[in-house]
Amino acid sequence: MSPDVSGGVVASKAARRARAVRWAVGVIAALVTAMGLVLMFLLALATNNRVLYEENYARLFGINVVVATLLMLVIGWVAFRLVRRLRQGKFGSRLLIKLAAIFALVGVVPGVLVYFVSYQFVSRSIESWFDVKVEGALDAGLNLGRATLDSLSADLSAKTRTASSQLADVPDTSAGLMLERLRDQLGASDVVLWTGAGQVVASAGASRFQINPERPTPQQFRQVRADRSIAHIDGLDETPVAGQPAPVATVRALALVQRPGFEFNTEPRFLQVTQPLPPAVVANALAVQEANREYQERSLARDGLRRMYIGTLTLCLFLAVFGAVLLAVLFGNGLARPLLVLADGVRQVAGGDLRPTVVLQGKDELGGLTRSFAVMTQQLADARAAVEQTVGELDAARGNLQTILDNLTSGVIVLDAAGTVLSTNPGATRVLRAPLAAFEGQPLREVPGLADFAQNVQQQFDDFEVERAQHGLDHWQHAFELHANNFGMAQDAINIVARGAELPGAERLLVFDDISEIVSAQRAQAWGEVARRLAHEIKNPLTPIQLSAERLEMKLSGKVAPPEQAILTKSVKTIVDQVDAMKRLVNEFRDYARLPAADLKPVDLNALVSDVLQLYGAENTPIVLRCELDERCPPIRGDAQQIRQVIHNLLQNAQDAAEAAAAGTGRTGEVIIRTRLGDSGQRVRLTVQDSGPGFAENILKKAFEPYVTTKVRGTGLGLAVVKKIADEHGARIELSNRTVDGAVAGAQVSLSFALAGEPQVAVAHTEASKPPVA
Amino acid sequence: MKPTAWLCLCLAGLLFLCGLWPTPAAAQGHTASVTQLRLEHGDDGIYLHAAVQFELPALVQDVLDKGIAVHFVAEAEIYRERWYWTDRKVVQVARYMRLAYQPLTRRWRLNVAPVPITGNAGFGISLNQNFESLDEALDAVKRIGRMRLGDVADIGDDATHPVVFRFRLDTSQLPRPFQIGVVGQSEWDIATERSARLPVEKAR
Repeated sequence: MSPDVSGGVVASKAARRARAVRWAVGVIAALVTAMGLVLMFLLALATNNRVLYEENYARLFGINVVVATLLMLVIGWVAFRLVRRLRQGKFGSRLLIKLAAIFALVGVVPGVLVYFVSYQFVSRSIESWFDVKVEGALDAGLNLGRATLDSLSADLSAKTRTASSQLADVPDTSAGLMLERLRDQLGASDVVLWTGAGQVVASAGASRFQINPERPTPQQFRQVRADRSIAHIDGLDETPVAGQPAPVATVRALALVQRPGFEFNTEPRFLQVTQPLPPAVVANALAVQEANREYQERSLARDGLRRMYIGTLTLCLFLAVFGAVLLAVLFGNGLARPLLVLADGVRQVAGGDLRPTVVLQGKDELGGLTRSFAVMTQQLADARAAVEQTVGELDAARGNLQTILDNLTSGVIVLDAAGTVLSTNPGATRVLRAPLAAFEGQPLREVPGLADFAQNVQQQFDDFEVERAQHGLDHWQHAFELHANNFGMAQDAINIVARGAELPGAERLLVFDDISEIVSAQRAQAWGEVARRLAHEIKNPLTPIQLSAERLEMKLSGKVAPPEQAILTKSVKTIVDQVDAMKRLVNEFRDYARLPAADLKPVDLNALVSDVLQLYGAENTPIVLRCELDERCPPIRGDAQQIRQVIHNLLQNAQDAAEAAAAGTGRTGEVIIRTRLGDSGQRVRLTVQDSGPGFAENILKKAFEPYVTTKVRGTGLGLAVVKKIADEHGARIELSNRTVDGAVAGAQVSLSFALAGEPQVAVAHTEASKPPVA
Repeated sequence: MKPTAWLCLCLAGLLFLCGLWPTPAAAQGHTASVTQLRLEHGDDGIYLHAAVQFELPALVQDVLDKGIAVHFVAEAEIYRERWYWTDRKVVQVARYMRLAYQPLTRRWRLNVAPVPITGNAGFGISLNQNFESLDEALDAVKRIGRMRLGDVADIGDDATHPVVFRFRLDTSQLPRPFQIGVVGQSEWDIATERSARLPVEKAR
């Protein structure tokens, strides 16, 4: 599960990073948008406050352009990402683009509409301010003021000229008085009489108290000489300053005083009359002038004004549109995300990946949907995990069961109602000695050699069904003998006990064990009992028979005729010989049946073998007897008497077999007896080999059973006794054919005895595998 | 998405083309030049005399005729040379001139002040002259006489002084909305500058 976990960690890390990036983008976008909105607001606000607006317009405009550029960059980036995602075929990009496009459309279209209406409105209204009529009116007002001032100055000029004529004859000395009179007459504030060089001759009014009153320019004097009189307006130029009284504007007229020609070369005199202008006229004239100036300013600046307003509008549009698009993308993203998460989760689940899906913390239905989906996925995952666990446990149990079945010594076959083999275990093949695994799916009766068995089993099952219905039994049990022929005890027959039971689903379970060995053991025991009783019963009359026959001979000997005597002697001898033979037979029976319990003591096996070999002199038989004793052999645990019997029996058998084989061919048979300490140093092996014909396969299996013999006159008890003694000693006994180049070259019997120092080990026949025989 | 981005780009391009964004136009000055520049040692300090020559563009004349004031600025700076560092600015003086037409009296009026003449400021300490015609008024503008730079003690009594003299039409004093349209128009760009090392002459 560790790759899954690490994968989950990586995925969650990636998800967290993506969330952080999204968050940062959202914050930045919101900030930029907010900044843009604030700036837009400021721009709009500043439009009301003209001074502030005009001063900061360029700066505001610049900031707005920067913001707009930033927004544009952000939008470009977002668009680029979206397009790239679409190109990559990333899941959900289509939905995102669609949502963003819808939102953007909803945001942009009204904005553009409002923009165009406003654009028209602004340009029209600005144009409408600058009316030809207004301009004309202002112009007319200005002209009016100018005309008024002109007429005032012309009037004063004319009056001054008239007055100057009055002064023509007045001498300089009395001019002061005259000037005073003139001042009163003209209503002037100041009257001065100048010489042509610009010196005051006489003055009246305010200038009388000035040391150096303002002097007309020489240019003016020249002009007056030409025009006789001029007038101009002073003090009107001052731009009125707020909070100060309007300046006193005056009209000043200058006239040449014509002097009678009797005094040649006299200097001309100039009369200057200064008269204050009516304050109302001055104020109004200035107001009109100011208004005209402002109007002209604005009229000239109207292009700039229009650009300003339209620029503001356009910027607002851009900011609004960019903001709308950006928000559209963000909102679209936000709206699409739960759907994408859901769809992604569905795809993931459909693909079999039941890891926990992302849960959105939204309170809306979509968030709830993702939560429900996550819960569902979790439940699915739990269910699947439970199923997987169960299946795993089941698999383990089945594996256990299979192992048990495979290692059972019993055979197990599952059949259906028709007797078809459904499954078997190796034990079945072993027990039945038939390749059952190859017949799975085929009827049991088609297995070679098992037709009868199959029929019997079928019969048992049929009976069992009837029985079960009546008595409620849950199994049947029956013993079979396979490969049995009609000759009583077949040598290769297998005894099995089979037990049948009903499996669910009309299947039938057949369990069977190979009880051949048990049967064999039972048979041996039964035979032993029979032999013992028979020997007892037979032995009892044998002695009287022998005694009677000897007595008969003793009594009749010499009393009958010689021919009869010969018959008698011969008959009695026959009786006695036969009785002896029978006695021997009976004794052997008895010996087998009533073999005493082994008295286990340390015994030197080599000494025992040497001892026994004394009896087998070379002169008795044509058989060569070789003895190979291992000097290292330690004492073994055993009963010397019984072991001697074993050696004796084995040698006898071997000799008989070798003799039988040698008789036909004329070769010299040989028998080898050998002792050897085992490689492990724990056991001593006694082996007897012969060069006889070996054992037939059927004999080999049953050679240790009593009354199984290959010899014409054998009792069949020799090997049985050996086997019995070996069992008593806990010795392993093995019987096999010696093969040389694939052909049977004789038989071999080997026993391995436990050492004297060793505790008694388990009995030999429980060992599973037989060691190979040299 | 993509079409929107393109549309945005196009709109932005249009915006820039329209000139809504005040781009610093290439300073292609009208034929203005400094024809005369000299320093003079007066009674109580050093004075600068200069004369500039320029033709008033028709557009500016039109604006003047409508009664809108046009401002000129003459600036002079004197540096002291430093072999170990950049030259130090010793003196910086400016003369602000405001030329306006008075429709009521049909006369031209020139205010001269050492500070910018905006709103009420500057008028109070300004020297004003009236002229009957524009040419006379412009002659007054072109002739910058007796511009006091400072005391000899401040300036130093070196043989020559590096002087920078600038003269320009001050568009920043124009009405703001008007500026938006004006800035960047070459007709409004009357400016000249001259740097020279000048000896201080004795007053004639």
